Amino acid sequence: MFCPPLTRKRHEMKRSPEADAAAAPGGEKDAAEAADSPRRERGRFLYRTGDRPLEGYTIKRGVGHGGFGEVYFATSDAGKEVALKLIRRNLDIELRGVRQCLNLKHPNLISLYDIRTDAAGDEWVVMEFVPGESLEQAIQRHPTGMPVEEALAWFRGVAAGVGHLHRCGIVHRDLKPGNLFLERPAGEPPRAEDVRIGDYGLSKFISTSRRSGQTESVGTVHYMAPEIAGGRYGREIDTYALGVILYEMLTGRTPFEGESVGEVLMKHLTAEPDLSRLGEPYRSVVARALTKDPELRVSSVEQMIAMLPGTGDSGQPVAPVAAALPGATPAEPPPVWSPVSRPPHTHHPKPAGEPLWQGFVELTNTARTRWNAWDAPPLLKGLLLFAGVSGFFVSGAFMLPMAILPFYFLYYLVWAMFFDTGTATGATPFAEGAKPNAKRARFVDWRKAALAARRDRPLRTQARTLVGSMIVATLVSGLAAAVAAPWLVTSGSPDTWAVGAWFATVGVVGAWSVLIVNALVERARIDGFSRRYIQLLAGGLVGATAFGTAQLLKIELPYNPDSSIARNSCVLENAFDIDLYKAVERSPDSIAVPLTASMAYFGAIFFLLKLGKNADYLRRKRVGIGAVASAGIGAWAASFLCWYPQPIGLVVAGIIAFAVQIASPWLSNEERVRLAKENL
Amino acid sequence: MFCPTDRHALAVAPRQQAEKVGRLSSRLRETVLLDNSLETPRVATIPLQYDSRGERYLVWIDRVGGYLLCLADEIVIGQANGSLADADGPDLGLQADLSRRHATLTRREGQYVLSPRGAATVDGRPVQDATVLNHGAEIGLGDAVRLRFERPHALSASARLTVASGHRTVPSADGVLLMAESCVLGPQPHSHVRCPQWHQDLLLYKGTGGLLCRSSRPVSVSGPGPAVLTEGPVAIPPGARIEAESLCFSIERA
Repeated sequence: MFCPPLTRKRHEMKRSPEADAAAAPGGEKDAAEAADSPRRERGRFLYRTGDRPLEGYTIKRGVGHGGFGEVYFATSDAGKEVALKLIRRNLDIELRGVRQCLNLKHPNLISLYDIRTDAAGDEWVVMEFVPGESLEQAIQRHPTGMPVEEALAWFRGVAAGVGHLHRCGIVHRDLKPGNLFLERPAGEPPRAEDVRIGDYGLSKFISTSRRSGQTESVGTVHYMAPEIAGGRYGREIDTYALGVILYEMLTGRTPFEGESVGEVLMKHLTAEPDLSRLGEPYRSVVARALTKDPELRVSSVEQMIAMLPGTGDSGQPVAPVAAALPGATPAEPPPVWSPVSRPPHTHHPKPAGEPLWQGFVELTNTARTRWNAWDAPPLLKGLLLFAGVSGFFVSGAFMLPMAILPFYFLYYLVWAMFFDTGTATGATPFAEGAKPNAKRARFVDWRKAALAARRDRPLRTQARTLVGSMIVATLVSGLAAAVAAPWLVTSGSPDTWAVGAWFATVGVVGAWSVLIVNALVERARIDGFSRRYIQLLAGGLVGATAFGTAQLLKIELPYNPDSSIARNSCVLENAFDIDLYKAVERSPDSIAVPLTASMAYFGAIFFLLKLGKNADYLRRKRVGIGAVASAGIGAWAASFLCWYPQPIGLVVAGIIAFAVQIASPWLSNEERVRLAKENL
Repeated sequence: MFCPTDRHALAVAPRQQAEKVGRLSSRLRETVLLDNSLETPRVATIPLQYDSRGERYLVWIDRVGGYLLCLADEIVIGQANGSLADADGPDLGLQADLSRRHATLTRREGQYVLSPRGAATVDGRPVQDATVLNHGAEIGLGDAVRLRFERPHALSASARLTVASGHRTVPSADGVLLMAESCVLGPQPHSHVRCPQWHQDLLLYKGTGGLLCRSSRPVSVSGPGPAVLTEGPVAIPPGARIEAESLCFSIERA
């Protein structure tokens, strides 16, 4: 019975000399080397529990690796708990930054106590230790986004601290969830005041004269503003990071994710964030904070705070009382935080496309996902794919879609005319077909402002603008006609002057009708459907003018038989057996177009083409060659429906588009920038 | 004074001890590390001569936190008087408005019983008498202190207490482990101390000579003695440091 105690005693005796040896410098070195022998990996700490590299402080454990060195939890000899940051690389930039901040005081900033140098010459920053969880951990507890109230309280605390830094002329430059902590006040739920911002040692003075003194890129890539690539470190990089953090808190993920650092950086520079998961007003706050151009970005934290709801009462709790400590399982949040407002809000409802096409796209998407998910050997998949594709072509099955296509085209035309509501001309003419993105969201504001200002002008001013435009259009049409007529008339049969006069007249009347219809639509806010019918009427009128002018000038319109399809193979004649040219004499290079054919052709052009876009106040360019070309191509395509001599028919459409563009007022780029800034 | 038999006993002792520890640890491993419920009750009923009353350690885990390891079957929870070297202070001292011996938490046959002396609640209900705690229970002491009681591992009688109300423990720790026979440290959610970045599990358990540990992969144990690279079982006396490629922690007497 007495053996076990004895063995234990002997065991202790045996151990003591070794302990002594370990205490000696040599022994300690051996032990340290042995400890190093398994692979030394990133994430190891230089000092261990009980070490005293800095006089007066005992290291307890490693906390993490900051931007420039290791951070330890340590206690002073008197029992004060501190965080010690070891700056091993001894970087001037880091220390300069910390020294600037050494005496900053704000409840939302981690206090810096001192900078000390140890025996080895390394510099240590002694600072406040915050035992609570970091925002990174809080976000991890809510993989699909935090309750809005919790996120707001965090955000307010962080923004207050960053605002203080900015007021002191310091940019944090490395805001990220891993640098934000929550102090746990004993016995009560934490509030916004308990949020602490750490690691602002990277902070840099805002120098108003030279903003790009520092060339080394620092910071965490997910929160890095695009202009950092250009070496610019204004306070806007902090608002950008705050926008990313707000997005991450509300959705659980960062707006730009990628496989590699380069990919994420590229997305910061070029991609637009998907804001569809945010509800208002967070969407607009994030959209403004994530603006690529620092000049347009919301630049002050106070502005961001002012945009958030419930500003003024900061007494909301930040984290559940039972917030999990590291290592604990997630706890149920107390009822204070039942999430109230997290609508999965669709930001820009994608205009519903043509239903048949949508269905087809969905079908192929499903098929593709299933194919990709199918767990078959790649070789088998490849063989199947090859067999399928070759079968498709060999069997002649590929003729089927080719045969369906013309019918679908007709169907689409009918659908677009009568049933399309979502994609019809609206307030955003040139964003059609573009993916809904934040860029558009940002533009909506100034666009609306510009259009409203334009609409609110007095009738007199509007009339004056219209008349001015009409005069300009007349001049331009005349000039264009003078250029186009000699080019089109090759043989002498129709008189060049007469054709020129015809061009000028039709061009002027066409441009006028587009301008007038546009002015009418703009003033009366006519919807797309009625607009098309007004356009149809205008087109008929232009057609009648074209016919009348030709009659008056006693000319036949010249045409090139190779430039379009044969007269009798147009849709109108082929499908509906309507020959508008029944009684017309056939001549190889000129033709007298009857009234019905002329009206039908111009009616079709005006009805189908959005010629009004050329008069849009907010069009992308003052004069776009693309728009002129598309008017010509559209007119040419219209002669498939209803034959008309070409190329004269398409040139006249181009002249109309060109004249309208030159004549219509346009919002200049400078004005756009001014309006955008005003609305920010 | 040594008789021959004693001398003999001393000579074979290390080997015997190693065998004994090996047997013990393999049993623990079967029942604790694997989800093998064949011999479930054995964990709680292994007879131990080891007198662990009042023994406390601090486990400092790099990147994770500091944990107070209580080996006693009964701990007293109460107000700490601020001094770390307080022999008659409570086992779990809190910097809070409590009485010095506010409640006792006892482990009996694999169950935890809270015996309050001052005002206490369990899951919001005021309690006066001894109350059995279930996994996830919230203990309220005094007006403001809230402790969360958890037993993360179904096959281990060890439990974890975390201060949910933000009060400080003395000595300062992120959590308190009430260790029955063994504690699991590792990346899994059922670990007593969850270390998300670790690549392996590590088992701490009581042995005849103090705390022992074993791991699924070799760890380097250094400290008062020379460093050894082993899967265990290996004794980890106070002051030991355990390292592997993904983990690093130290243990010291509280």
